[in-house]
Amino acid sequence: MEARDAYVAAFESARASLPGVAALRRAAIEGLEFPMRRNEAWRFTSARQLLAEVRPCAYGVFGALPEGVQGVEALGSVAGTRLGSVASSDGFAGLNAAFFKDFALLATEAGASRTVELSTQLGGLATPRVLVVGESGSHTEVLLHHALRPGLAVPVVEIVALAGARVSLTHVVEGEGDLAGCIAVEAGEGSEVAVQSVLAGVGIARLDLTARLGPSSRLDTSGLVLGAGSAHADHHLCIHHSGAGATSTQRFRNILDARSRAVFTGEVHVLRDVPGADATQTANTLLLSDDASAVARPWLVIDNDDVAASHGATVGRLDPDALFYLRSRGVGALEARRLLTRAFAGEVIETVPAAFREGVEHVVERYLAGRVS
Amino acid sequence: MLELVDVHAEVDGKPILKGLSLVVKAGEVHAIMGPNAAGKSTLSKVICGHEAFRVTGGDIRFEGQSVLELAPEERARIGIFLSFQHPVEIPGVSTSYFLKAAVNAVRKARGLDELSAVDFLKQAREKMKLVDMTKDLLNRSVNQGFSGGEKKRNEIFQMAMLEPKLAILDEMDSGLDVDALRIVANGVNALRSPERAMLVITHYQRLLDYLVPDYTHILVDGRIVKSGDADLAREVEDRGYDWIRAELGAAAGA
Repeated sequence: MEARDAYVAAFESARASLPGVAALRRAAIEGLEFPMRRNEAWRFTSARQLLAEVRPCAYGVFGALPEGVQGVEALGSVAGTRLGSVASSDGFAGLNAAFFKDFALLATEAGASRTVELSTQLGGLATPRVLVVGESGSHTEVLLHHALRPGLAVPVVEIVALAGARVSLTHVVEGEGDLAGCIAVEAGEGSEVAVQSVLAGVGIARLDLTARLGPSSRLDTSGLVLGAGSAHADHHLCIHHSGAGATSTQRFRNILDARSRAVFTGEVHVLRDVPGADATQTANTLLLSDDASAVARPWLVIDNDDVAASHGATVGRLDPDALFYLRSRGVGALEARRLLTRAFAGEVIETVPAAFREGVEHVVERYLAGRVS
Repeated sequence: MLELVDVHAEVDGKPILKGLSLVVKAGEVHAIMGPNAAGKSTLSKVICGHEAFRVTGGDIRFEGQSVLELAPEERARIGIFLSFQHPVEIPGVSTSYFLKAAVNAVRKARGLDELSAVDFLKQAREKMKLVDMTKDLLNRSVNQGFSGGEKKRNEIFQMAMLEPKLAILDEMDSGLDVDALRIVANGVNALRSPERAMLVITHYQRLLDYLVPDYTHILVDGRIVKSGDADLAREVEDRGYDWIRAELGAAAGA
């Protein structure tokens, strides 16, 4: 493939300037291969379209890192060596592994708590890499906000929650460019990990969320797609219940206007020797326009009888009875539509940690101000 | 205050109201009774401007002005209120946020300043007492998970907050036991005033024991076929609707 060859060549000329993890980079570029449509996991999102233009790498996307967050100098630290241990380096994540320079390490010591906000400005081929390591009994809350400018962003976030750690990631994408991002979670015994994803960009966005759940761990995922114009947003989850008695939840909502489209795939794998898994999944879509569309695919692969799993998906419009009820009390038609649309997003917004909730509400307000009319 | 002049209305192309005329003056309470499918609920919906109900003839005037071209929210702002037969559950929209938006939209239309959060709360607490509700209602999503009685009490609470000139109470008694009915009816009675008119739509006379009307009208097949005072309601309770139909048939045959 043309794009692949171009990126391999770019790597050869850039590699001397790329910091650390040479073996990881080399393996990623040698194995670099992009998913085709016949790949079931990429049936609804065109990798070819994402690769239509080969772009130069753009660095410096984090600006200054907040206090307590380490940069590339920490690649050799104990926590830093976990890099690449959770995320795969397949496909677009391979581009990140090969080319990344912008690196942020958030390591929370045992028993400690911290709340961190990171933001990026992404354009060209942007490859930010974040590693979150929560030591035993620690509590970490991270907001990662990506502002996309034209280009292709391939951010990778790895989360390592050690035994009994709690980690929450709020991952927000806004702006004009395309995205093929990856969030990978390793949940240790008894740990609790939460990931909330907001895709509010107007380009093509694909976000893969993969997780391995250790014994008695918990993963709560939620997502909100705010679709406008011809935006395409694809959430693809792949959750492996690797340890007994783990719980996973998926709560995704799409609000789609104009010609926008959302895809949701929730893969859950429970192996034969893993009893006591509990997996729930809901995907609900609100269509604000006749031309918007959504695909929801539950994908449960369960090889053990001792399991509780449920899934549900709905697609609908604003309830005309609810609209009439609000209007009959004097609330204007536009305000009534906004109230109901905001309420639809509410179930996901309330999963966001209090520290970041207002920020996410603002994303929703910006979207509503531009779309619901 | 409210004048219905030879109103014809249809839903999904099916005629429901077939020449309904009615005049309601300030301070009056009118009961509309009728058998199932007579057009009782359609009447309430067309007065409030529900888009699924199309007025095909006649006029609806409020304080002398036709309201047919007004959106539902505009009708609410000039003082028309509908207590729903089936109040809608709206998950994710808090009662306080919704009601504050509604009260302020109505106040703005009347040239009044917006209520501050504090004043709104003060007023809400006061008016909740009318229907025996507690302030946790304000934090709950609109009608979500409410019992039948709570929903109807919430309707009357909203009416008290919005202070309409005309209140239309659609099947207020449906789904209520006697105790709940008494609470709701007491709330409504407390809101009766010489400036306010009420249109009480009901299938059963039971409600009218608690909420005694000045006038009673019998609606059959999209028209008011008989009018009287509160006694007419009792007669319907005793004899059903068939004798009225019989009278109509005799009149038509004569």
